[in-house]
Amino acid sequence: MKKLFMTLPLLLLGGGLHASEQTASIDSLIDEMNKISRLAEKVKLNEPYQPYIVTVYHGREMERIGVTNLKEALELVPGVDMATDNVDNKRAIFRGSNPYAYGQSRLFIDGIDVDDLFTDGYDGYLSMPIEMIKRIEVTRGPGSVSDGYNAYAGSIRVITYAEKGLRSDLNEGRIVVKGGAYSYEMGGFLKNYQNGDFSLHTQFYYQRDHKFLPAGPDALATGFYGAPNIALSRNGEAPLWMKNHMLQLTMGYKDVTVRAGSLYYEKGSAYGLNGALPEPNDHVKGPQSYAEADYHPTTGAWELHVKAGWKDSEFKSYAHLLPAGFVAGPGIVYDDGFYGEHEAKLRRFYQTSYGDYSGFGSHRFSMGYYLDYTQTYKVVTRTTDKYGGTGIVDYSKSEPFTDPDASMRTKRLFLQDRFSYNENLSMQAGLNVEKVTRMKTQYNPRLSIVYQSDDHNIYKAIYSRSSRTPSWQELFTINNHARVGNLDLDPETVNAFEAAYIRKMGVDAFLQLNLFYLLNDKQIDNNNQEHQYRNASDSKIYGAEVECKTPIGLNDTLYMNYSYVYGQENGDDPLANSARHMAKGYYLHQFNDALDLALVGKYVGSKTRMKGDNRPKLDSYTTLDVTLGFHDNDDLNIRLSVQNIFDADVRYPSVPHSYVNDYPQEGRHLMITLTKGF
Amino acid sequence: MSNKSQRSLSTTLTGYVAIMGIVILSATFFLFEHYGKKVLYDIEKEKADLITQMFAPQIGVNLYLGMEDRVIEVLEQLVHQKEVAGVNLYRGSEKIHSYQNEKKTDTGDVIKVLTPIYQPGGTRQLGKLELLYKSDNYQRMLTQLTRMLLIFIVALAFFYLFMVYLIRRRLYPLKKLANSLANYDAQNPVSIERSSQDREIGQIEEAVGTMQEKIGEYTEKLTHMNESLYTQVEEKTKALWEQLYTDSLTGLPNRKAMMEDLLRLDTALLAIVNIDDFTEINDLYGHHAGDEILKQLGAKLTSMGFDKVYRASGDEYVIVIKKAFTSESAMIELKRLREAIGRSKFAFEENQIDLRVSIGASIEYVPTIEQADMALKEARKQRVPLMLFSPNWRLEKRYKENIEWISEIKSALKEGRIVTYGQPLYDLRQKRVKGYEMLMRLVKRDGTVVSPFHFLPLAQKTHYYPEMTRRVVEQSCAYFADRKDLTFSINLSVEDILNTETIEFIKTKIEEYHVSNRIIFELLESENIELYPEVAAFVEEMKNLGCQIAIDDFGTGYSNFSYLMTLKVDFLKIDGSLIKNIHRDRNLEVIAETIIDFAHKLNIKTVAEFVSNDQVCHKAHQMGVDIVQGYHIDEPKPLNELEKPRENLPVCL
Amino acid sequence: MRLIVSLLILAHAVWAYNYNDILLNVQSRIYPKILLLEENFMQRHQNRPVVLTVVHEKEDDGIAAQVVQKINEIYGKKLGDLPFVVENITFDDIDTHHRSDAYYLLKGSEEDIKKAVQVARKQKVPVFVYDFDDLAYGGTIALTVRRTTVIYMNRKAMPWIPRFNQALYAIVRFIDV
Repeated sequence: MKKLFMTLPLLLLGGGLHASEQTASIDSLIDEMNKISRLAEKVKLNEPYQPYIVTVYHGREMERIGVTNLKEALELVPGVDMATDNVDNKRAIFRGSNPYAYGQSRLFIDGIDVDDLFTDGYDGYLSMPIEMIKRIEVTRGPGSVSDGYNAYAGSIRVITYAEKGLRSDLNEGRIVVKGGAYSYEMGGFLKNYQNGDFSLHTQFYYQRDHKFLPAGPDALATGFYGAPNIALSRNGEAPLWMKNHMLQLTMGYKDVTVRAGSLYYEKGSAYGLNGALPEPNDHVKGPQSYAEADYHPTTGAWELHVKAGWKDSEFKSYAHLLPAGFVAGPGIVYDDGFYGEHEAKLRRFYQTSYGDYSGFGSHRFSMGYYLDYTQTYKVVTRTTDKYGGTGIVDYSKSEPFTDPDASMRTKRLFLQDRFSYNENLSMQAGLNVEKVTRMKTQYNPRLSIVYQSDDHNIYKAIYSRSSRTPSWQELFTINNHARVGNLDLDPETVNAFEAAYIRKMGVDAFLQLNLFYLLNDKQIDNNNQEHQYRNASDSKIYGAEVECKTPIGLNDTLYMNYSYVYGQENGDDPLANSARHMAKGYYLHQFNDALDLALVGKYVGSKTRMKGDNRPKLDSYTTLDVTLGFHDNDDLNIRLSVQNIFDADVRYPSVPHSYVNDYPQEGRHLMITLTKGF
Repeated sequence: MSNKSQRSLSTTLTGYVAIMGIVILSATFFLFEHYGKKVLYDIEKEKADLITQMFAPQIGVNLYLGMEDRVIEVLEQLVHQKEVAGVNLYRGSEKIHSYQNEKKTDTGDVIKVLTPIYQPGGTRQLGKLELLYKSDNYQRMLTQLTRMLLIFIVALAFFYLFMVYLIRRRLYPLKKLANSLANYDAQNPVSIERSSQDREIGQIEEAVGTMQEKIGEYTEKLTHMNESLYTQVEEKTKALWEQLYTDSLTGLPNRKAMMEDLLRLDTALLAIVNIDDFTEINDLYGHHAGDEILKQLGAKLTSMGFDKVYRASGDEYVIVIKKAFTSESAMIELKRLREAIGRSKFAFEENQIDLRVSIGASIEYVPTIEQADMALKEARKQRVPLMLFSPNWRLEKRYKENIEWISEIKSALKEGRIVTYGQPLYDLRQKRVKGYEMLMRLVKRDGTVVSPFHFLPLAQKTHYYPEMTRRVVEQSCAYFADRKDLTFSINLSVEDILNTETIEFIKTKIEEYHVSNRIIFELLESENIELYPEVAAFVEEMKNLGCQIAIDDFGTGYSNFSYLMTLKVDFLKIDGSLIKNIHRDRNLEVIAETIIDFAHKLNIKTVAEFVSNDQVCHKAHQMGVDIVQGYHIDEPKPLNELEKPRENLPVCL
Repeated sequence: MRLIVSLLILAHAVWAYNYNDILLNVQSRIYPKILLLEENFMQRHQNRPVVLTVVHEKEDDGIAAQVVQKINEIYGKKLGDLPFVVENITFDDIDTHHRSDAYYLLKGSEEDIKKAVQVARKQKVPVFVYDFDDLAYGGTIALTVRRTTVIYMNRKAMPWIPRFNQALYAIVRFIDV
């Protein structure tokens, strides 16, 4: 685009034919086209040309095909699978990479890293209603370093309707009401307000359900807690209910934007903190609050961001952790079972600045730094007398479950240059240097090339390295038998080699083929006798993803993807708990301007168990969702979805010595949605 | 001196200036012709290029879209530019448009620039645009540049001439001086008259005159000095050489000379001649007398016709007779020598002094001064005047020692001087002295205590040995009979175990003193105990009685772990050689660790011996050793001092 | 930043379904500007209003109505100094009696697109298309967002449309389809 600016004055000078009255028009035309290009990059409209592999889903489109929340949208992404654990802390697994760690993928909402500070997971946001989401950008692989975050296996960027520049209206608003199976109910609204230089976006939602799903026998049956406790094992309904609300505010004035959010999140204890089936009312809370101020002036060739922010994360569990009569050791029997209250509060402050400079030829330089300080500021550990007896004892001081004095600092420096050799060829080189307390300094380089041979064919090649700092839980958990923290952990690292071919077939039609080869080192898990987190394994993963979207005629749209993942851990062991084949897609048919029908199908292949786990492979499953939608010209939408219409048996894998029959998920269920714009 | 360098300085300098001038001139010409013109031309051409580049895309678009009228419009606009003489547009080779500027150029010359015209955004060539650019500007600049160059050449020529004149004038006196000095010789100075008005050159002329005189003087002095120095150096060298190898008193070759000569010696008789009671001569008559006697003896020996005579030191002379000798013929020769010295008269001032000498000699195949020396010492010892070296002396010495030890053991047994010492074994877990290792000691009559290291191998070959073992057993059992919280260990060799009487004795004593559960038998790993069925039987029998078994010095031999299991050993004593340096040798540490791990897996306790300092002790503790023993804990003590507590326990405990 | 915001802000409702709303926004904003670059645009129109017709399939009636509304909001019914009228019509209803200074074709079947192109050619007016691929059926100008924003012009269609400012030709990309 720079080139256009330069040739134009010459032309006008040389030509000067009809310049007089039309110079202004052509100038403003070029100016706008430049701005559109820049914006297109920001909103991923031109994602095929970007130097990473990304899938973009638009909230509106997801709504139409019957996706109800963030989790369901992520399940459609090629190469992404969902996993859970005994506390139902769900997370997206990218390309089969370490299904036991939480922080390998990160979630950003409007650019803010919202992963909870304790586990680095983002379970609390997976149930975010799709109606609150404008766009989801799922980058596979370590991704870009331009804003300094270290994505590892993938990053999920959720963009809400607070995003400037794409709102359909200055003062747009919307209300949403939903209801469905498991007594699910949801209500929410979003509203944009703009007055001159001042803008405000508010969104709020509230949702709850009473979901209980069959589970068991629980971990006691495996003899993990000793032979005397096997008889105490239970089958039953796992409390998977939730109570959840979130408020989000985005305020803008000139070059300053302030974002703040608060999530309240409460859910049933699922499969039990210690693997024993909990009581119906046992629960876990994970509230989170954050705020960030962003000063982002644009002057000439510079685009700057100076940000400072704060995040508070809590983990609270109130549960009957072990059943009555549990034998804990010689002479120690919990007659009334073992009750525990665990609470940890963590806080982070961070400051980051970064900028883009595009004033030097066809180069665009980005550079910046990121600093944060995180600490535990409250720990409560109250349980039944550990050494026998029935009374509740406060162990907060003597035996807290996580180090109450833990703290960490992160320093990161990042540089990047994007260079357009010509219209068809661009290259990118970047380096991200990270130093975290106790960890070795990590140098993460990144190189990529994007080449378009013509308007329809685009090729990319990317090399990147990334590292993941161990989570708080992995480092600082103490006085606990089921999880043992380890301060000697090294960061997990990955060297990723990716290649992509994209064929653009029309405005919305494309075919994309991705190949990847990942070398994961020092993968962390606690699947050992002592349950201590260790850098236990290395893995080599390679695979391919094919993604395709095409309109069929004027009224139909087809989207399909297939992913193949093959990997080896520690030499020859096959990659555990990851589906080698996955195929997903949807079909949307428009009867007329007001009525449409969508089908969503997912196939997730069987999953090999980890070494030493003798259970047979976890079966594959295929689900189909059907959605019928009605809408009128005043933006009233009514949708009826039946999900998993054939009631397929969907299970997420469990680790050995836990729930031997894995974790069954929802069968056929119903959802009704009503939204109205105002 | 070569001819070339005799060329005058002024010629050279003017030559250089000339060459420089020519180089500068040619470079300027070359640059002007090859680059100056080209640069000027290129500047103009680039301007023309820029103009065509600017217009070509527009023409391209219009041609591509078939808008001929717009093409013409653009070309007309182009031709109206001030510097443009004309434009031609070609399609293929056909000229489709041509325009001329009405304003003619001054010279009529033009610069032609041809640019291809491409389809917009593509590579297909639609035609060619030829621009005729007026060269007025170029011509103007070319003229200016040529004028500047001419002025420069003229200036350069003037400068050259001036330089030549200046150099020649200034250097004339130097040239003259050089000519007059051409035939200079130190003996025949030339006269220099001051001719230059120039201060510097005048000074040079004066200085040259003075210099000539001085050079003459110095040359003469030097010639004399050289001659005398040469003689002196030669004399000194000779004296020093002689001093180095000659004894200054006797004039004989000295010890140094001897040592060097002996290196080349083979068959010969080598004898040391030593004056008996020489100190007395010194005391009686004074040192001058001694020196005088030494001189005279030296002269005497020299006169006797030996192949070599050396003064080895003080009152010792060495003679060499290069001939094969039998011991008989050697003795005859030596006697002859001694008698000859006895007969000779030595005198100092008024006093006549009789000399007697002792002689030690060697006639070995390669006689050495040490052999002769040994022979001399032996002669002194045996109080004989002459002695020949005998190779048998060494064996005899050992044999004699053995006999002495056996009689010592025998008398020690008789007199009760075989005693038992105890060294504490400290249990690191219980943190107390757990027991003692019983060690045999022999106390000599003079009270020195001897460790069995010196006599045990010998004793084991005698019939006194079983009795010695029994003494230790008897004393130990008796001592520990009433000390029921302590264990004690006794070292048994395979010989002991094979001796049924000793075994019977041991059993009797154990029963007599009721020490079966506190006695530990230490067996040496190095003795291949696993090969003797008797050992296994003994161990089993003792274990049945409740006794315990320890393997001593474990880790030295081919440590065979399996017999530890068959023997049901209770303790492993890790060999001292492994323990001593364990705190600083990683390899030892690994070996010891393996042994300790292994022992613990078999429920065998480990003992670290030779614990000699705190570091070793700490390391042993760290590695999981159960018991430590060594000088650092406490040294072996007689039984009656055993219970005296040590004053300070080592830090590590 | 604010410029980008206002650039893409269109009236309230939501773009419909098989359309990429951002692309539709961008085209609505840019196409009239291109029209303004017609050679001697002001002189040719004198005081006659400029008419842009949005042509659509029957199913897309709602969308077409919204496009019309959006363009009107952006340009305030004025293009340059001339009155600006934006109309919509279905592919079925279009014929040569309908006078227009330019057409903006939304999605349509091949026959429909070709039909509209024929009408436009008779009137010697440019045809803007939503879908780049419709240039193959005779559309004149298409705006796409690739790595950068690109305006395509169909050279084969040039004889049937008025000329544009020389400067526009310098920034567009020509294709021969």
